[in-house]
Amino acid sequence: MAMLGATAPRIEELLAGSLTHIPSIDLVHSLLAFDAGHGFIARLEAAERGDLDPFVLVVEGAPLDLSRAGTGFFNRLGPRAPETWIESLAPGAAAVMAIGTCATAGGVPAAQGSVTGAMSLETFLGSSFRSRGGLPIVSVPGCAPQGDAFIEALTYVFLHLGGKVPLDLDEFGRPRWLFDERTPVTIGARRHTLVADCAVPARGWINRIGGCASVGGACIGCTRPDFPDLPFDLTARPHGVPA
Amino acid sequence: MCFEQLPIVFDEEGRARLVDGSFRPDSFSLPARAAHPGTAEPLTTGRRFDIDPVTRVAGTLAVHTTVDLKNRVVTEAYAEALQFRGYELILKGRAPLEAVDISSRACGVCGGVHSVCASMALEMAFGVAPPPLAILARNLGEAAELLYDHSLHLFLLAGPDYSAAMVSRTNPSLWRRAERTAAPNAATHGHLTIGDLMAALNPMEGALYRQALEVTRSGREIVALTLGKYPHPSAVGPAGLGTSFDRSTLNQVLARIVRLLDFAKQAVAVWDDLVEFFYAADPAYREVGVRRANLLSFGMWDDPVAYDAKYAGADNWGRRRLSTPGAVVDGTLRTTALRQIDTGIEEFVDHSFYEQWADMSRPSRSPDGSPLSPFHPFNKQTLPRPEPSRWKERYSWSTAPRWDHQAMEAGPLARQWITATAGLVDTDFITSGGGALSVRIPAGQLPEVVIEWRTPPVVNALERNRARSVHIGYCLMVAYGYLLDGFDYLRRGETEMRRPFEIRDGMGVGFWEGGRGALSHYCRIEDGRLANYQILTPSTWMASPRDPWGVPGPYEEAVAATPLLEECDDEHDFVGIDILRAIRSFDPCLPCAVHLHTGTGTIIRDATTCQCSSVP
Repeated sequence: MAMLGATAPRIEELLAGSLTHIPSIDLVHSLLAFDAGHGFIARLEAAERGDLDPFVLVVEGAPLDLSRAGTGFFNRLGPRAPETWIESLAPGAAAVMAIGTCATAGGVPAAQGSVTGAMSLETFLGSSFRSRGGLPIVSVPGCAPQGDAFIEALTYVFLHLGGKVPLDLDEFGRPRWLFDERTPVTIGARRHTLVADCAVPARGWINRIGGCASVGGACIGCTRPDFPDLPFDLTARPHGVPA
Repeated sequence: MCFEQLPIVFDEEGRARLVDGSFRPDSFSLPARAAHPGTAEPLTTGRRFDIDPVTRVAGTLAVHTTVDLKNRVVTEAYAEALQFRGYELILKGRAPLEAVDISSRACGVCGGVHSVCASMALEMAFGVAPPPLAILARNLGEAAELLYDHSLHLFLLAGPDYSAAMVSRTNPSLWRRAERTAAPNAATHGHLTIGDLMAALNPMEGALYRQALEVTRSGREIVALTLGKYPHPSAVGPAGLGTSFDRSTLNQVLARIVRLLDFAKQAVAVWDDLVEFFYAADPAYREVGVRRANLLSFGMWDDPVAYDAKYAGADNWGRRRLSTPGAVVDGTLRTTALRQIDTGIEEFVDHSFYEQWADMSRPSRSPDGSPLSPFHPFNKQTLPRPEPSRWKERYSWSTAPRWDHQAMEAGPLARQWITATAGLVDTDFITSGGGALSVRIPAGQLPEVVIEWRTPPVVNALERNRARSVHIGYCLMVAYGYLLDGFDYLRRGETEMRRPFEIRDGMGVGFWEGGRGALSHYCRIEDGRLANYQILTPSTWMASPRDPWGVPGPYEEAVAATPLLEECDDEHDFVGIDILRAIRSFDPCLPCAVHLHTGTGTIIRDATTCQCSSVP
């Protein structure tokens, strides 16, 4: 969903191959797929067999601990648990990306009170994981992630795989230039000593419009790995600070 | 009379009381009802055919059906919601205000409605309402969210089912007919034949697909201007908004709204042409996705002056909304009173992966002290119990919400049906009454158009989509009206956007609408923390499994009624397009899987060839 909101470039421009040095891209995603059921699953199976090559695997959502569901299940993508797809597809992917704080850190589904055992993609695949293209997991955190930040990261992954530019990632696997601005987490009138690394204050939310603290809202630290269980409640809103 | 099944009556002030005067443990005991035709021994013969997942929906759901291929009908369907994340458990014990930001994350498609609905539940608990301009701005932002949402659904999610790429594959003779059929509304949408129109719906490349994608971005921008960002607004909370609503904001919103005037006219022209083309080609298309007219809406867009966030006043401020609350059973509008609508709600888990919550003997009362069923969301506890799906036992992560024991459908068609019947909405742009709506959309590049919509004779897949296309114009003119009112507020100097409030113990409910329909949040605050938080989404209403009487949920009912009109010589080419159209017409917010089982011994595809047999 975040991806559909991107404007520089737009998803349809990226897919059509109209960007220099980026090939046309075949998107396999359940939200936009033309085919349903077996026709859709066949594309994932083709990637699994190596018939769809090269491919980039983008994971949104937090992998779950399957054992927590006993003989039942908490989630399925087609006939299988999504985790089994990740397990089998990740080793063959030219690059693996985690989009959104659920995938980069576990996020809300992994928050206190959760029963599903939700975890980050890095926890699921292991911190030593490297894709076939030699990359660690490329992470674009945010809840929701900003569409343009993701498309820009994806664009640079393609340029990197094509040998055009080096991909400059920080120690958390994030494109360094997108997450080098440290924003104070501002819960209510108070500024906390916590910071969140985020591109939104500089770039706005969409098409340079909107944002969080800069437009009268609050930074609630949604790109942080401990979101939403920060060391304090997300209680005092920017407006209506409790009397 | 409001209820036929529940033992509750209302006095002249709208207060509820039990029929027999006092609550007894068996007051809400479930009356026996005749077994529904759909409860016959399920899925015992034939082989299974799976469409899993149903794509172009958000979330996870499976529908398992029995198909009579000889008569080209589906005889039985089971909807299986496949995903559980536990938001209600995660919210329990948290500081009350965290409900706004955390519940918002429940959905990235309906990315603003949860934070607004949570804010309203908290406003009721805290006894505070936002100042009028903030209510107006919240309304405006939420109208824009629905603009984005309906455009996304009609052209990116449902649209491809009616595209040249799809129709030429699933119904070649229909496609040949489309190519030679002139499009009656060509002057408005610019496509000369129905075939041209269908080509414009082709994914990623079609003109309408790409135009709608751009419109969704305009919708997101308007939400960002009014509520901070989208999805997950950064400036929404109880008692006000963090954003400033000044001349600059209004101008930026205006610039985007006027660009959408022509799109709203074209959306209706496109879907009118498509719907009438399908009906003319084969009247059986009226049966695709058909179900009883059991409709529910909480209404939305509050009167900035009338809304006081009080439960006792909800009948009044509810009826002043620009989309009228209501419950329709078998085509009859039973009530427009929000308290009656609320009191009629029960959630059952007999066929869901949850334990029945205990302590049914002492149900709590509503915020105005009225009696509530022990199955009402205020009394519900979320107790997950994952297990393999078994059709006669438990098979879904969705609960079975019912209103007066009826399975209800929500969404734009429900909103419009109720509003058109109640006749309470009358603005400069929208009038209602006698089962009709009229939406006047001013001139853009195209001249002014007055869209007329009437309650359709049947509720089916095509009418759901047509109603949704009308709703784009409806939402746009709601937004436009608030924009003009906003200028008046600024002129009068009424610029207050937030009020102080105290966090206190109590209970509150938010009544709102997502794009796909009725949304309610229920909070109970004890000792300054959330003792219980319940979220009842429109997709829960519609993806519902069987209820305690064996009556199917709306997806199940609609799929079971769907004729299979797909042209298919080779069984292996069968894609189940009519079933997909039926399901997608509800705009499910759950990725959905459809499993077809043949009931007559005719094999449309052996389950083993599609490797989906691992589904229990």
